[in-house]
Amino acid sequence: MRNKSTSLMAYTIAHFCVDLACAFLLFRFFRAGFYVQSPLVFLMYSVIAFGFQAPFGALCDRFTRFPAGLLGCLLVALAFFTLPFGWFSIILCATGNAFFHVGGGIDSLANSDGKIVRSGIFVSTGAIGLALGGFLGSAESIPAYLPLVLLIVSAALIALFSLKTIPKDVGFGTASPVFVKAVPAALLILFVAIMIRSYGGFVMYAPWRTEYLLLPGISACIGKAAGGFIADRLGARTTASLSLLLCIPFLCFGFSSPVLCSIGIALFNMNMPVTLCAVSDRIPGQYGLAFGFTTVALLLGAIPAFFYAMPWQTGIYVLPALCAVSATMIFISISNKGGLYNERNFA
Amino acid sequence: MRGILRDIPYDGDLVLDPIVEDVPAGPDPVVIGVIVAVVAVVVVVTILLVVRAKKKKQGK
Repeated sequence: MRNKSTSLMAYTIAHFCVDLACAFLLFRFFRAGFYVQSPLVFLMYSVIAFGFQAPFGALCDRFTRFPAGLLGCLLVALAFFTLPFGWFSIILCATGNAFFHVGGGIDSLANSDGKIVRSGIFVSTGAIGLALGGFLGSAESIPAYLPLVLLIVSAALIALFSLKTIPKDVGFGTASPVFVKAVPAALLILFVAIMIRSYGGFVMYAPWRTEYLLLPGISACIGKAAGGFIADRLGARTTASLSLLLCIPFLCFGFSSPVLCSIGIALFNMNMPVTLCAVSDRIPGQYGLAFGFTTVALLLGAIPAFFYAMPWQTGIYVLPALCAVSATMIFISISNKGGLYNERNFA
Repeated sequence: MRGILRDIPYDGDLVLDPIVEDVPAGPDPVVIGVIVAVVAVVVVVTILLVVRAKKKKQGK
């Protein structure tokens, strides 16, 4: 039984499992004091897992039958068996993660029927997977075969339920007819908006994180899924820019409260599927490349955080500025128009 | 080892103590250089792929 719903279900569950397995491997086997320096491992992993999605995506757009999602699961599983080789294991894990995300991203964009909610649902579960994987990886009592079992289940789900045919020219109607009409300019603005938001995620201060480990991940998950759902109803521009502005008071004045800060994190993440679909609208028919384009922006936004940890006292002033700039960029580069892809908007 | 600034509580002055603490060596500059180079290549490749995709679309 293969249809759009089962395909989304397979990739969404697999997204949770793959991100859990990757975080488990990093936190269990590559903490400080193990094979290599921990921050470098995380940086190298991020560079490959996020940065390589664009070329991998372009490859999958060219060869539409390429089983990227399935290959991704298998490569991450293989990483567990190559742990004695240190860096090689990390490279395998990150490469597998990149391939999986490209496969899932293509499925979520191409089979969306112009609805943003599908991308929101697919990207949402990764946040919980990462949080839980990090938690389980740090707990020595959890056996290392648990993520392997999840990866096998993921591979089976994708093999059984994912759709093989990729529709062409599915659009989301987010091209702005008023402000930025030129595609290169819109892409550049969206790229910078995603980059700024990515860095904002590292500046965010939540002192209760060590106590409620999974809460930020759950909030991000709810935010991403809700963002897609609301954007299909209220409009992409309204949802993405308004949610970024609304999160400011929650994250700056309510950071010490787990409830208020969680609401802020959910609002902060709501624009993620919107910007993904907006980028896809500007590179029509190239779903893998569009997905990879956004992850390269995420990577560039994350890199400064590896070299400079901003004091939280500064961060609570910087974060509103980052959110406001990102919201403005999204506001001028996308529209509220719904419906299917309109060729005239991209001329 | 290198000097670090230490806050002396009783008078609030900052003094330079050259040998108080071992500072762990930072990441290998070569590794950082390689990572920066890989990121630069990734960005350039992404831009080229997007430009190529747009040209291909316009050519149809």
